[in-house]
Amino acid sequence: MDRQVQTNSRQRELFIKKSTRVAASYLNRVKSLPDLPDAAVPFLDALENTYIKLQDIAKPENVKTIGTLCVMVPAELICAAGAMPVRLCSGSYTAYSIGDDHIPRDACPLVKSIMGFAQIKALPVFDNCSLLITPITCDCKKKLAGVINSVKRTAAIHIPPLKKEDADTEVYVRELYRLIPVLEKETGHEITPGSLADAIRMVGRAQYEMSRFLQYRKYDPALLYGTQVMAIMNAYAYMPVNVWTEQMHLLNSELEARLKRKDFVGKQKQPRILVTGSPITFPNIKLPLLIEEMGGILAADETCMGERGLSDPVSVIEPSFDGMMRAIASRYTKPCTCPVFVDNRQRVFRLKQMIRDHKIQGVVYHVLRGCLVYDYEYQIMEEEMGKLDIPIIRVESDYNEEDVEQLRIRIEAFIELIKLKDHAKKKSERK
Amino acid sequence: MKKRNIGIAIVYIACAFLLISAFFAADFVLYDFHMMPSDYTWEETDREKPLQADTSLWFTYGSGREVKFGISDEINAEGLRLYAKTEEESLPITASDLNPIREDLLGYIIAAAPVQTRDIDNDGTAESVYDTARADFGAHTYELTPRAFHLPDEIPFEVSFEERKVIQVHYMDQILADAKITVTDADGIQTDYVTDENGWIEGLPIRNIREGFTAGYSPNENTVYRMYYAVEDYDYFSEHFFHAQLPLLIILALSVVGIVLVYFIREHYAKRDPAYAIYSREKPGFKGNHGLESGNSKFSIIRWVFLILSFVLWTYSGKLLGQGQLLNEVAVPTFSCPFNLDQPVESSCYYLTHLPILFTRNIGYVIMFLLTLSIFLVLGGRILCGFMCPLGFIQDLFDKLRRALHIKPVQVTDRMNKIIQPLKWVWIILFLGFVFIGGDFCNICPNKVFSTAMGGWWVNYALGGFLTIPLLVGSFYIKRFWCLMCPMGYLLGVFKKFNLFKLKKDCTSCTECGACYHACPMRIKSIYTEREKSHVQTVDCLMCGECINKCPEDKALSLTFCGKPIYRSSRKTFMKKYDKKSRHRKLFHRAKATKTGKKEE
Repeated sequence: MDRQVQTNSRQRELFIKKSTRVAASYLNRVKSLPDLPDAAVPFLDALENTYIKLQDIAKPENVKTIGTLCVMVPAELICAAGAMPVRLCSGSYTAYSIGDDHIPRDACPLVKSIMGFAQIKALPVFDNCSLLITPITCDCKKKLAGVINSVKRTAAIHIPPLKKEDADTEVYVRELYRLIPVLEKETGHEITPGSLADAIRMVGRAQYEMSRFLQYRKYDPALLYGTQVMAIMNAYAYMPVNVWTEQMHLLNSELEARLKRKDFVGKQKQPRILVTGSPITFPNIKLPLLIEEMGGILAADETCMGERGLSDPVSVIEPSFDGMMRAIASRYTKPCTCPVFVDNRQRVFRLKQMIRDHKIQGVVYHVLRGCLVYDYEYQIMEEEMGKLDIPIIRVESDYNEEDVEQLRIRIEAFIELIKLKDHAKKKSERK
Repeated sequence: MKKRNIGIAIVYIACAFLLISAFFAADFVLYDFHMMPSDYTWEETDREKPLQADTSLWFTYGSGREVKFGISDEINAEGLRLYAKTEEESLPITASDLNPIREDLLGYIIAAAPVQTRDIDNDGTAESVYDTARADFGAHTYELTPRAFHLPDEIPFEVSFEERKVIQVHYMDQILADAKITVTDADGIQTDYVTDENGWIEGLPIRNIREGFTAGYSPNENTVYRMYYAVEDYDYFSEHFFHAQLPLLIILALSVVGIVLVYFIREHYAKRDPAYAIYSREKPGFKGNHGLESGNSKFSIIRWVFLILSFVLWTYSGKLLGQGQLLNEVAVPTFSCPFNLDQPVESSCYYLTHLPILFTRNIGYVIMFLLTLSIFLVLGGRILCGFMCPLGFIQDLFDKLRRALHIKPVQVTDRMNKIIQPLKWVWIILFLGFVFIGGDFCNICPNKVFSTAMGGWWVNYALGGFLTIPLLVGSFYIKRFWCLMCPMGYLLGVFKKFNLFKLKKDCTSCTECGACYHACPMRIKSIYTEREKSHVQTVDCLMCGECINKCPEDKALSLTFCGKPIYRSSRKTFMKKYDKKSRHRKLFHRAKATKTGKKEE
């Protein structure tokens, strides 16, 4: 028994050493990108606190944190119950290698990473949350909900894979109603119409700042690097909503000032690239880093850690309790472009819109190894991008650093391709 | 599946009930004002002669059903001759026919005084003065049928209220054209008017016909004909006006009972629902909207202004402006009841439901009617429903009331919308075709009561009055309940391709969040599922702008006028309500307060 504890503690020490080192190296690479806005620093600090200094989320005392996965768990409900939501989807390579022992080989690395953290108990953000709410989205998350329950108390909520019919939305509304007593029991606070409305307004303010922020991403040349944006969005998972919002407000003001000064970080002809596909979560941000280190600019992202999580606001039609619940249920399923939904044509339209708005020249389609649902949709995306004459590249990666060089070559080639294409287009225009 | 079958069954039962009961509609009497002329009393007035009466005879009306006549002292009541009109003819009557009033009389009475010889223009020579007075009262007062008496020997000079908007002059049974008519109005002021080729007194405000006036005509220097004319009419806030509200109050009271009943029935069944314990934490009551609605958008304020203004216009303008139904050839397709004669234009529903009657009118009227109607139908379309229909206004008021009370609405799904379709077709059949099998749509029309009662008009309500109750209960729980099956609305929607106002969608910008669908009172689902066409307006679209108001995506939905967008959805406007420093109670501090023993608010 003693030996067991000893091995565990040694393993833990090793883990902490390794994981903080990896996280720190990635964070440094993000920071080393030029022209980091001053107001963006607290976001990176939040990541640093979580992954390097191993601190809990900066919350008032006695407030419980509740862990969530995916983008389908309504933060509004958790806030309305007086708790704080933390999103635990993780990109830690070290946790991944631990999770590998508990989860089948072909499962996706994100799930393994979550499981690794649950097992090693080294991340206070992870360990201090009293409940984990897992939406049943893809197969990996579904089985994770069952397996992780033995180490972390988990409430699973069912996401209807169809969403066109009213009955499907109704299923999710019922599911949320079922979640309410669970949350209330956990926090000891009742969710009242007033507190729910307050929560909707609070998250709404975050969404408002987010929508302003997204406007600043549309400029060509860019106002800030996409990798920094990814980190900022990622920080939403580990910051209290109101703190994140206030900081975002400052950042928006700074970007506005930058815009007035015409202080762009990008250059005129930098290839504008969009990343879509499997979640890119800190510290696994090698892909955005590679794109920007290779001379591209990550002008937009269509991933669940980035834009998808916050861009759609709750549209309350009826200000009654039931009306609010329905509005929340609608917002968390209907506009969601996660490929776990059976019919996901709307993702194509979302991408088209982003390509139009952000003047995208190339799409990098990220697939985590084992992430079947995203891989399924590559075909249709390739077809659609072909119609639009936008080059697209499928990039498969795993939670380790072994494939970095290979990725670097491919992305470099892709960026050169876009540059050549741009050049040829300009030439033919001149003629 | 079971629920669906019940729904279908209810709809078919309602259809069958409507079709069958329509034949006996007149037998279901909700309220009868007893307005046949025989219900009136005929008595002498004790009041002084009104200013507008130049004649030695005049009529006034009591607050109930009383016709009062007055005679000056200078003439002898014995020599008075009385004439009345029946369906078939005009005939002389005696005072005993009026006490009580004979049942076959239409309620048009003329009293003629014996010839007097007086110098009324103070020119030194005496003239022969022929004084008459005319009263129109009872149910036929405002009918369109011609009402001149055509008794040249007994009543040579005659004025009558025709076409609901003009005073026509007859002299010796001929239309009197290009003649000078002196009119004394309610202030006692005399004005000269000239008649046109139809014998209509040009420029005479219709207000006079309701207040009473005297028309004078002298064919030569020695003869003066004068007729005092007063149509039964009452002031606002008179006893008569308040009496007119009675059926509306009855209907409202029954509707409130219905609403409460539905509320408790629903509560009873909802208790089986596991979510009931949670959402029932919110008890009904006026509580404000939790700051989640950014007030109203400019567009919806404009819409409400339009709705209120058009309600006032439809209901009161004729009397307020004193012009009556000035433009009665202009047919506007809304559900404002034409039994209210104060509407400035003709609400086309009367002639649409009585097509044979339309074609008995003169050809000019018919052409004008069809022309204006088709302009509104084709170019206007259902924007009239959203912006002008008084019934839409009433329904929107009921919906506002429910929202203010925080009562859950009945969720209408698009499937329910499909189930309800047969009912719509039944209404359309009844609306256009009922008259051809001898029915009268007005008897089953559930929309009659609002503009008539509120305008102070005495109109009897048959089955339609009872149908108003489910309409109101329905529109309380379901926004624009009637519009889901409105036959007039369907006619308006058919020409959606030619409408000046159109609803457009930019399919690329849409994220399919479904907010538009949930906001739409007509539950048009295609508006959010459509991903190819930009023209998303369907037959049902009221163009109320709710979808645009609730759409968070930039330019995804827009209302266009002649192709130019006049109202667009915008993320900025949508998000504006969150812009201010959050005034929410500190959610995370709430936890602290409770833990330290303080009472939670």
